[in-house]
Amino acid sequence: MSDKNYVFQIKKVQGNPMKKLFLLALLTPFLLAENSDVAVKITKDISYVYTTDSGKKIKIERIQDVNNRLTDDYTKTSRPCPPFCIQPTKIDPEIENFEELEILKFMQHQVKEGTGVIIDARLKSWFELETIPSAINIPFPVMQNATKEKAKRIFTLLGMTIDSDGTWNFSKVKELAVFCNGVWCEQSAHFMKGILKHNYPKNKLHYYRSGFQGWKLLGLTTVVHKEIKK
Amino acid sequence: MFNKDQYNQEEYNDYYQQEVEGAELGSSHSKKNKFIGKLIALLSLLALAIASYFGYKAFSNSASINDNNHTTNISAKASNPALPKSVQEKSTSPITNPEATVPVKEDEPKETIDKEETSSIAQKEMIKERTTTEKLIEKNSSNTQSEVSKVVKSQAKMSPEEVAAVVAAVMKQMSQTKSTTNNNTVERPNKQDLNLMNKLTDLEVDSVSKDLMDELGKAEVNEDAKIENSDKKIDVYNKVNVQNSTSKMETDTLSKLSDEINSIITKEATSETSSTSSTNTNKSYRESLKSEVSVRKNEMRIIVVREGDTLGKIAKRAYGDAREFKRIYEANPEVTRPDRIYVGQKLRIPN
Repeated sequence: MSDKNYVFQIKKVQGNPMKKLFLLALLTPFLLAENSDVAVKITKDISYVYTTDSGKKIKIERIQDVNNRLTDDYTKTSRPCPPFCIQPTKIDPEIENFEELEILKFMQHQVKEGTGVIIDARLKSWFELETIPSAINIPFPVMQNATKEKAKRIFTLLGMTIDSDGTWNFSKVKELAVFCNGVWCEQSAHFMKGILKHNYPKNKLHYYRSGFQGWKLLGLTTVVHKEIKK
Repeated sequence: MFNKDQYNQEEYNDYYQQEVEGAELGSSHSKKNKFIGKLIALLSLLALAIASYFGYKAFSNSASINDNNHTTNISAKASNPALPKSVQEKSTSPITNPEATVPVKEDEPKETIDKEETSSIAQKEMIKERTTTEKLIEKNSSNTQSEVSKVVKSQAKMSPEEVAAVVAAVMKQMSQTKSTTNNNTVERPNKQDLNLMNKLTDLEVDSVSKDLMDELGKAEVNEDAKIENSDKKIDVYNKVNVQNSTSKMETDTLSKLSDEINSIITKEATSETSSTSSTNTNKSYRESLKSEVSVRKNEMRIIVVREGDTLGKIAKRAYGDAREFKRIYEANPEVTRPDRIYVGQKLRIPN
């Protein structure tokens, strides 16, 4: 009689962990499926990145058609130079260069937390046609020709504070990742020159040199603010 | 005495212990046993109940199906073959030979009435439908009904119920014949149509047929395209339209920031154009940019395919010449063949 009880107890104890293992075995394919189906990933470990633009949650992923080609004017090889010359690698030795992966990381951390902003330095019409998700538009002429007053207003929106003696305090100002059309586009260079004239800290500036052309070339998701239909 | 008591005491203790142990073990043992036993009993009862329920259902189903078949066969045999003969006789010579037909009729409606009473629910429903149709027909052809009833009444001494049954059967048969004649009339063209057809010339017929073939071709192509595209489902545009998405009540900080910066920029845009702070190089650069913008806008044009569109039609809309359709075709590598476009597809229109 005592043996029966003992056997019953053992069975009971074994039941629970087996159940848990079984459930885990069922769920693991679902947990791993997010990253395993995609043929064209961003990195080995990342298939997509989420960000928000205009209050809308946007999934940034690459175009999954392995035969897809660019057909827009971003396929042009030889724009007249000047004015569309090959840009130097660095605008300034102290301004850090960004590329696509850094931009995506920037989106997930600084932009999400509100300590960073991606800036499209092109003209408004280009920004509206197509741009990088979560980017805001400050056209380069605005920065290039900005009066002190205007710069002050823009910088205060970007987190600048003014001390009691009137000096501008850039300690809590946002990080800016600036881009324009591509390697041949000097609009971001003009933007940087303009913003540096008003003493924006260089360690808070980043230059995405490949620009929008680089973004498109990798088939990453873009955002349209104004569609042209006929 | 002393030993006996001791012995008794020891015995008593042993008994007591055994009892206690037995009670404890027995209770725990019996508890678990009882529980298991109850479970097994419940399960077996459940199983029995389910089995019996299903068995009963199957049994009753087979029985009812047999009954249904039986009743339908009987009623069908009784009602249908007898009537046509009698009605035909009646229609050809209603007045001349009533006596001949009426006695035959007397038997049949009685049979049908009996069968109606004994048939199942389905049969009753079918009969209800029939009676409703008969009523409709009766409304339309009340004259014939009155005639028939008059004839029947005058020539035979039947109860009003039987008369009604006979009249109903006759009406039903007449409705059946009417429906067949209606079909015939629908197939034959009216006189008007015949005249029109004679008027059409050969050329017109050819053009009409051509248009029809074109439409058919388009329909086929569209279906093919739809199937093709639905299989692929790979988004090669990868563009998200955020045009009207700021209608949310809680606008996030980023959109607020962009709106505020935009307001600053636009406020002083008008004042800036008048200012002479921009240098000459900037001006020329901006001029060149303007031309780039227009080029860009032209190359960014998208046309949404409408119903009845072909690449030629779209090219005419975009360039003014349908022969330029090749440019559209080449600018959209996802269009595998020039005739494979579907409604709603977005095509890039190059410059």
